[in-house]
Amino acid sequence: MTNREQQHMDLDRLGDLLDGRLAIAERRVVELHLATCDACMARRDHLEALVGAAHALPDEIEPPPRLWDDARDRISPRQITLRARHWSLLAAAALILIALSSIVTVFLTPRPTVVVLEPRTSPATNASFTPPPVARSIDADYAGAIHELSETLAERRAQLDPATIAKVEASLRVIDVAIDEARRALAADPADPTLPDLLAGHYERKVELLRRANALLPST
Amino acid sequence: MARFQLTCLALVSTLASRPLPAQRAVEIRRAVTSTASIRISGAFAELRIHGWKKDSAVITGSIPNDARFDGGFITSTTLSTGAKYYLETATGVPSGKLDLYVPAGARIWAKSGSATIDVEGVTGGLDLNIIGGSVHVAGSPHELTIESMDGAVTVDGSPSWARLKTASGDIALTGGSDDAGLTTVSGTIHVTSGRFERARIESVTGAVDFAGDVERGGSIDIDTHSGAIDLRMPRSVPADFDIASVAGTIENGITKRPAVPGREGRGQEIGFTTGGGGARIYVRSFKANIRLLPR
Repeated sequence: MTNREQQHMDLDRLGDLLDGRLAIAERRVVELHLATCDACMARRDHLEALVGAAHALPDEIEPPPRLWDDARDRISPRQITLRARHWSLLAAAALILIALSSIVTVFLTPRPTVVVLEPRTSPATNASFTPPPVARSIDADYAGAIHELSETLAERRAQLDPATIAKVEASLRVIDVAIDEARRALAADPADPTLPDLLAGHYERKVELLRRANALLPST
Repeated sequence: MARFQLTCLALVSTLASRPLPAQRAVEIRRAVTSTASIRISGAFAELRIHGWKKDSAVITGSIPNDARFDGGFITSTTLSTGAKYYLETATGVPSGKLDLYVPAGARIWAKSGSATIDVEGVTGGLDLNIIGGSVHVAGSPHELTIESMDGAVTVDGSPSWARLKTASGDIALTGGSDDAGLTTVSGTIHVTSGRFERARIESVTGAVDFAGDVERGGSIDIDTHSGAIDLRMPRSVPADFDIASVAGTIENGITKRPAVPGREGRGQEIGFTTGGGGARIYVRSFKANIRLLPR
């Protein structure tokens, strides 16, 4: 390694420059170096392009609108037609599969944490009904994300203003009540084609709210 | 009585003579590219962002003497491609007032705790994040993201792409969009005008009032849990309506067709086509009442 190579700016310093974190004197040193070093200037430009590209990415990428419609059409019980001759055997097999998948879901999938910022009894965790497989499947879809975001928030809640925590908790409780009501309705009528979408929507909003609350934490 | 008045006068006089927290001025100017990225965050109480036709950025305002306002411009070329600044006050309480002048096509990212953010004339990108306070955007940025907890969000313009999200803050949009997503937990959502290619509106308990227009072939999706929904459309709009409330009622004032009971006699649902069809209007609620109103 030559002396000149040893003097090249490392990526951390270039990153600090782009982030505006360098003190004025240090920034001048780096800028002077960049003015005379094509290699470092190229690295800086590359880094800036990467940061710009990352910022340009959307927060969320939604699937094509028809995708969920197609999926719903396929799973809608009203449109399922059994064409096999031995439908009774197939139905029995399906029941066994549902039972097995339910057992696996119950034992292997963590239930979504309902109110996350402080231990609290919630309507959903107190639920005395047995949610149908479709509700458990939706629960399972979001359980991981909710658990992870809730854990992070709970660990670092001291870093947030109490008033902000109160706002987040109040909104989470509103969503949890809605989730509980939608799950109970699904338990009463598992074949209702509207309810799975509504339940999934509530979970989406909960994940989104938790994500935003986490984004309020310092240095995130 | 005279003694009381004198006491009051003395009190008022004392309060009036009390020095305001010392402030210092901020003034930073820099030539920038027309699409520069500007990031500003911290404890500002007021931020006004002005898009202008000059290739320069200016930050002016006043901040507490003991506040730290730091950052800088990216300075690799004659024209800076961006800047990043943050404001830190001694108490953490938002108190700075800043005006940010940027090229109209710039991308602005601003984040504060509780603040009033006003934007005008920006056609590039805006990403604004507050907890409380309010955000008002006048103009039509290409990309608009606003996230707030209980701060109100008001947009007067037609952003090409918009994502407006609150927890309990109200959302008001006057103007259309090619692609709009409006989401709240318990705030209200009001869309008072504008053409939409695609709009998705979601609320848990907040009421939704939509009075925009939809492009032929476009789509409007609205869902709430218990927030009442008012959908105001011209009777001749070329659209296919698919409306359902699991446990609420539906009032149809757009056509003569009445809503029918939903599954197992619960709730109501209705589907019909107007103007030869084309756009897709899909409305769902768990237990709110839905009103389809002619405009």
